[in-house]
Amino acid sequence: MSSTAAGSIAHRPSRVRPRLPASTPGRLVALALLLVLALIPVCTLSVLIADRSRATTAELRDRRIPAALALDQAAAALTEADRATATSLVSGAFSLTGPGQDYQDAVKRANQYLTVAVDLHRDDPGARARLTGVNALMVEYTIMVGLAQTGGDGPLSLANVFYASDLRRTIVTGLYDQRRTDLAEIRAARSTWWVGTYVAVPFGATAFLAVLLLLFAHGYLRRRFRRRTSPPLLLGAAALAALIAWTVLHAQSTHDRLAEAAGRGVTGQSALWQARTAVHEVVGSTALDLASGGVARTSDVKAGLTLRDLAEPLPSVGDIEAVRTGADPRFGGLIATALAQDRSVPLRAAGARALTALGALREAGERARAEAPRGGTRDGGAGAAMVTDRSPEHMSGAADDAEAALTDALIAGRREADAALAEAADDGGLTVGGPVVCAAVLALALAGVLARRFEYGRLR
Amino acid sequence: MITGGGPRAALGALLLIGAALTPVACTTAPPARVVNVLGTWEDAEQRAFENVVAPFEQETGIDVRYKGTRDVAAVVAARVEEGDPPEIAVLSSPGDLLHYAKTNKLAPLDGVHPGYAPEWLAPGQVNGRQMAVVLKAALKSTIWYNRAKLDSVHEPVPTTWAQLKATTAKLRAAGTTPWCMGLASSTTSGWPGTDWVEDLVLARSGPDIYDAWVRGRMSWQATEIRSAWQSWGELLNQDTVQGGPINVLLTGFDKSAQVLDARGGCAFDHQGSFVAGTYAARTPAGATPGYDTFAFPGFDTPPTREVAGDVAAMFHPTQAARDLLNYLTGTRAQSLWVESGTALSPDRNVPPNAYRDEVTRRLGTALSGARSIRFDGSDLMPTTMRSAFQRAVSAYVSDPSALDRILDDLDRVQATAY
Repeated sequence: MSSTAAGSIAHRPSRVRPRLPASTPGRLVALALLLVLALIPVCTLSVLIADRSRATTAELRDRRIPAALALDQAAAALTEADRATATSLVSGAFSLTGPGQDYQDAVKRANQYLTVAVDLHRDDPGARARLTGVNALMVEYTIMVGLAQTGGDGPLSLANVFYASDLRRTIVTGLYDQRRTDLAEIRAARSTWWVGTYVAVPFGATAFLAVLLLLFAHGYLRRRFRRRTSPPLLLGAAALAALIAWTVLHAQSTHDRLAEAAGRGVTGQSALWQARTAVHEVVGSTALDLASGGVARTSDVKAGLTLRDLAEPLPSVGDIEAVRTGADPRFGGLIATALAQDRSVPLRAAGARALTALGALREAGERARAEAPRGGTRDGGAGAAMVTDRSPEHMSGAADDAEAALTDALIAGRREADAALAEAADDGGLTVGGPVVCAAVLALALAGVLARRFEYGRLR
Repeated sequence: MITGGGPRAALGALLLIGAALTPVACTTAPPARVVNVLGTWEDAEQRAFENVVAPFEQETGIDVRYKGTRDVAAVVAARVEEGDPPEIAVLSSPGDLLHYAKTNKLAPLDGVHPGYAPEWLAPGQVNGRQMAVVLKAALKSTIWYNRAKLDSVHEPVPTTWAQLKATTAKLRAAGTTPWCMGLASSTTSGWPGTDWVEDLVLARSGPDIYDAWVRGRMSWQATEIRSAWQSWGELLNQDTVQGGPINVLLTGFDKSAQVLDARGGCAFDHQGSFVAGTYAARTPAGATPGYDTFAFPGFDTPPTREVAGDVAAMFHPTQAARDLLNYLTGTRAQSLWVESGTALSPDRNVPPNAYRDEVTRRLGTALSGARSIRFDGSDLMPTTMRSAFQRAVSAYVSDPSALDRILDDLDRVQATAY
């Protein structure tokens, strides 16, 4: 009986609600422990925010963005090769020189870009499989153009160039499908929690609680120790407040810069590369129409890019001037996408030049079709010259001007995007400064509290 | 002095902090069963396939991930080379797939037992073992025609080659373009022409000669083969074919189906049963179709129909892939497939009323009831031979007078391709 009672008594304290330390030294130690516990998440979050935002930026800058753009670049280079083949065919030079040196150079570039894209997608099995398929089709494409060369300038050459061109559209469709996936992933990556503006909320709340705790500790010590202020605690609170401001500003800056570079910037650059593809496609399609006498390309291959994709409606001289001086484009299309919401003077100037060249491209195309002999030509002539001549009022010349302007626009856009990415990647010293400040705050808080604990001991 | 409540409070605080710092709880889900399928179907055919596999996915929980490309052979080759083939590949050419069997890249289809007639299983067998299986079938040796245009020249449906030529001439004289033809088809451009030559070899010389030729045991310059090319050539001229040879070369096979074009177009279209959906789509619901089909005419020889099919093989032998193939070759899936109007079925248990229109139903019945069939010859040939055949067709259309050189070149390819 007595042992049972003793047992129940022995267990009773464990069921009693925990009590706060009754003595001042006990409360001081508990306060020190609480401060340590409150500062741990603050420091951890600060380090994580700096580290994850740096890693995300590096991932976007070094892998995801170049991977997506390499696909656009490969598409543009392959379409340039296709244009070279078609213009060579219509010019009458095909039976002698084949598709020519421009074709060789463009195919080499297309292969290089595809190799880069494959390498940058090496950790993505789905993308790797898709690009392996695209690579196989690129080989088929060059084989078809090679076969076309064996047919001189007869119908078989024309047929093989048509087949190759249709295959090229299939390849470009595959590249664009992957690019769409990549851009979606870029959007997701730059919207992750660690680089979003909302990351500042939990950090700020946690750190604010720590500041309040420091101030509470300071108030408690003042009440218990003759209203003397504690400089270490006040200094710690001030340092912690500074860390809050530093981290929040860094998070906001990273988010803004990433939105600029990996959002609008990459969309704009992709649009400019697609615009280059479209310019080559417009010239190549016209050349093939002339070579075939207007036989419609009636296979089910997805339709290629046209002038309408570049700018719809084609802007007037006044509209182009307005765009040059910073107005938002009042037309649709790829060039408008690249220029929208971007007031960069070099970009606007290059965009205006490209738009001007498009007008010449359209006029030359219409004249080429009007002048082409009925039944088509694969031996030069008036209509063919309108396509192949490199002077600005002819298609190839106007296309060269448009391409040069688009290249300048790409360089300007790339410079801005790189600068924004560099800013986003810059942690502003937070990776090192965050832990240092945290350690300092911790040391100051412990010094402030424990100094009173020792002082209390001496007094006793 | 610190009481017992201090450590507990500290522990509680730590747990709270830990919980706060763990925004997403990590869970270990069981690995999903996935079957990747790479095939040639796009657009309507892809949608049809997705509808066919939907019940399978629901019932088994297996995720079927399909990717379609018209140039599937090149893509499969590249992925095999990379060591990353899909679980299942579906090609139109058994010859391409069985090439992988020879290099031990394919898993045998033990445990896959379709209820097909033996002649439908043969194209997928290597040394008596089933390495590939037909998923959906097509009836070739078929000519689609416009009823009104044929009636306008008061001619019956031709049953012999001579009648077909006579009707062609009458149509031409009446100002109607007799034939639609289109050979463009990306990397396989020319294949519609190979069907012409194959049908003519079968019709003129019978299945034994056909088999010998397809297996590489007969010269391309043999009289029986040369005659087939020349017979086709009789139709290939500016007046007989819409747009002439240039149009034939540049027009996509999928766009040549212009029989129903009342003002222009053509009267005849030599195409497999797979264009049924295209023609049916151009006929208003409930209206009598303005088109019909007849079998490729013979040369007083017993009729042998040419057939084709999309053939599946397994590169990774997983149970999920095997289950999928068993499902796809079963009567239930085959019925769903023919309902889509994009396929006929080699399964004789598929009820005729599963076909959604009268013309397709008759084609389906003809396929299952044919007494003698032969698989598409070019699809059975080795890849190199088939590619050369397709290119030879384009070369012949471009310049029919070069037939001797073309056949000589094909013989040279044959010497190394088998």
